[in-house]
Amino acid sequence: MLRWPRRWPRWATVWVQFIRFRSHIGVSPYLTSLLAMGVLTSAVSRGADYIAIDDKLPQSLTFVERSMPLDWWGTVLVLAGLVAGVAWLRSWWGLVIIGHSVLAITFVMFGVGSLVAVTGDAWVGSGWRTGVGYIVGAGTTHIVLALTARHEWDRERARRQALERLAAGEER
Amino acid sequence: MPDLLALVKLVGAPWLLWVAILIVFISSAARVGSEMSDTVAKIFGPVGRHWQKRRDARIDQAAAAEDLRAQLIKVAAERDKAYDEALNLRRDLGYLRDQRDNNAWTRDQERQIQELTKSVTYLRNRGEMNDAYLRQDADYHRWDALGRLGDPPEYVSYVEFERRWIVSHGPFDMTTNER
Repeated sequence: MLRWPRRWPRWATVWVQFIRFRSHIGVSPYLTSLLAMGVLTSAVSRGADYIAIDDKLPQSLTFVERSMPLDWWGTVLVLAGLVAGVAWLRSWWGLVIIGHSVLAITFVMFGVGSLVAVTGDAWVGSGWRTGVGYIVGAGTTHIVLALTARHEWDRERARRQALERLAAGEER
Repeated sequence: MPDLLALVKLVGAPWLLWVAILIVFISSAARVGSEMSDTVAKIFGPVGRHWQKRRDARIDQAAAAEDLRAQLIKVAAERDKAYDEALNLRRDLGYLRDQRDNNAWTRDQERQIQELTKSVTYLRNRGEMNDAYLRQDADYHRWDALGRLGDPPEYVSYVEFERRWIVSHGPFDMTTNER
């Protein structure tokens, strides 16, 4: 055990309470699926929108979105979203992890591009809401959903291993 | 942020974004593949072994969490049962207090025993009559099963036997605990 310091500072207590509080947050499987379906629908519709824009490129695109043809971005979003959605419905947790990881890094890059586009101006009031929304909203949600799928996969495998151990014990 | 802008302008290579996406895709696919099969894990060597070790640790953690959850459910059920028992005790004590009588609970138990004894006596008498009917009816069915040789024994229907039983033993009564 850690013996030093004798008295913890007050902010450490607050931080420990925050950590302990996180372990009590729980979302039901139904709500998690609902969240995943909503976020994936948003990503797929954004990708379809990118594909559908042919020649009339909007001026609001950041350098990230302009760096490659929009169809490529759209294809990535649609493919990853569809794969992750089907994998959610079929409980293929590996594909869920892959799809959400690709979507997360994509949205984080959009956010970085959006933040870079507003540099040089004042922080607030210069349009940084879009980048922050990309990174904190979309990116974090996809990462959390990927970790949730990984946790569910671990629980599934633990249950299967316990059953296998039980069967082996009965045979012996 | 200006530093970041300068960095991006200095690099000037937006295809690095695609490299990053590919890196994330390939690494996650490799990790998932290594977790799913040992063959894929062998391709990635020590990294694959590390991923498998992490996977096993996470699975053990999940199993421990499942065990803890099961224990928690058991403890909660025991707690609920103890709570119910305490509630029943409080209800009995409240009944006593409402009756203003220390022997009210005991007398209520005695009343319940009397009521139950009536039912038990009735059922016992019926059972006795049924057993007697089966015993005497067995003769007829034995004669029937063995090919109806010789004189038939007397066949008495259940209703007739019950009527005779009531005449000889008295009626079945659920309102008394006396035979």
